[in-house]
Amino acid sequence: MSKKKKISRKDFIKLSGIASGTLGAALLSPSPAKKLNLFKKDGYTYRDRSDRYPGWVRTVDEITTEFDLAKTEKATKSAPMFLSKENMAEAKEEGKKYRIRGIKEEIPGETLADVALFEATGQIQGYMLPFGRYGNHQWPTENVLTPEELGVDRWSGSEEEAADKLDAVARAFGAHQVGFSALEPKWLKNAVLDPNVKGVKKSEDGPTRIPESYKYVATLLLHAPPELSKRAPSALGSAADRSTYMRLYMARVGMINFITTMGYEAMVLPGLDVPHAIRAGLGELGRVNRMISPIYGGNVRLTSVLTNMPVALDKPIDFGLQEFCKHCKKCAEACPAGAISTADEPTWEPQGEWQVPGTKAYYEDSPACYEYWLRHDTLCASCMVACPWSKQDKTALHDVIGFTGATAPGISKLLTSLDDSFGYGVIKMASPEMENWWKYDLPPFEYDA
Amino acid sequence: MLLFLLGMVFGVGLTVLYYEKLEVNFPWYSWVLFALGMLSLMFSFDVLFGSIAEHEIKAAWLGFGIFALVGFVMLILGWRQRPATQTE
Repeated sequence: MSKKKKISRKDFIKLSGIASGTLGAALLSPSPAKKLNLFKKDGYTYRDRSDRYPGWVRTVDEITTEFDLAKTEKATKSAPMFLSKENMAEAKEEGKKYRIRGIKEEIPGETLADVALFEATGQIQGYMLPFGRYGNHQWPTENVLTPEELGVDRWSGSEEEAADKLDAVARAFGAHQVGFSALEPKWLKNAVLDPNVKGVKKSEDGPTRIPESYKYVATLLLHAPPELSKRAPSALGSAADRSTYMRLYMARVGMINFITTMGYEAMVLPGLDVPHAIRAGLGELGRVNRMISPIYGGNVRLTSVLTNMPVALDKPIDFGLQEFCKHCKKCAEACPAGAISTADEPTWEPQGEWQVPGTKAYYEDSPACYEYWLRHDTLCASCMVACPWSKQDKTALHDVIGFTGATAPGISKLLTSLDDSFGYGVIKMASPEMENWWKYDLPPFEYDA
Repeated sequence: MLLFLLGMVFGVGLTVLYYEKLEVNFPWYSWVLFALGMLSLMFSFDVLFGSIAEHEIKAAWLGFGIFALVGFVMLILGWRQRPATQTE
């Protein structure tokens, strides 16, 4: 038997002191300033924001979804247009009956209190919708001070500094992330870039004409309240969608105002948020045909600001989602309308005129989704919540699974089975568990400060 | 705070074992099993309390059960590798 090694009490105290001192110094020392890798490409300054993700999320040069701008055409119709007037009226009537039955029978998730929250958030969200001139909100933007009114020069700084400032502004208004990308004119909706206009020109009978200097897009991301979202597609769960947009629109107005006082111009992006968000490295395109974030999953909402304030752009990311989504299909199984594609591979063929072609994607049946909304008076979003990437951050288990999913996306079916076994996803409709939300002691907006 | 306390217990326990009480020589792979077992046990508590905070009760107890069981099995396997002839 070997002789035991002994340490004296004095040595032990000495070692403990050294260890505590080292730990304290490490904890109290200021974090090193972030050093982002900057580079120039196509006349823009880019920065590598891999620092905002775990190591298993890689930054890449091109977005992971195949797209072809030559095939990209503007969507001319929205999904509701594909429902007949009779069908829509009948569906709305059914939705009304569904709502009243839920209240009278006190169905969990559809009670009067649940509906009241849905309605309360909806009224504020509706007030914040961009119906004003240029797509901007009228009341909070028109009286914003400009440098001319102050008698000072407009702000001048590097593109990187501008990006840092807008990042801070987005967070001050409650956004969880912001990403910057170059405007893709093909992803505009009823708007075109016009080299001959100095300011934005809105037309009643044609597309809005935007100066060519408006080439920077800031996309804001908000994580929807996770606990409320799990109650989708009930009235209670739908309040999560509305409360998120309500705050997202406020953040968007705040950013427009900030840019105005800095001496530049900005407007709500009259175009597609999702491809710009993906280009800005906020996520990848998933089976839901929406963006999936590696941190917040599908349970996010996006909005974008178009500006002429030069900012450094972000690189797209890759966390293996393209392969993961091929096998998982949990969102499609969760969709109560059966609107999400269950195809094994993405396709270049859209399902209808409401979709923008030119992307190899899993195109959804949007009219079926919309009809379900009407018949149940809901905003659903079950697919976004069911996504296995839509997790909170209170246990390291999610980091382990995230790492596994990103490095071995081929086994996503197994991970999805585990996800089901652990009980993750949307709460079963009309389950008594729905009403537990009212009893939880949740932090404001369900986020710990 | 929970992880801090677990880390403290783990660290103090190892120190005491190493300097004061350890009378047997375990092979190197026992130490690997001990380390993995303790890691799994600590992880099981992280899953338990983290998932309860997320109101994912099924995930909490299932995760705790799986990782705690794996941890205990590893610790037992490690302990069983001690030489049979060694005595106090």
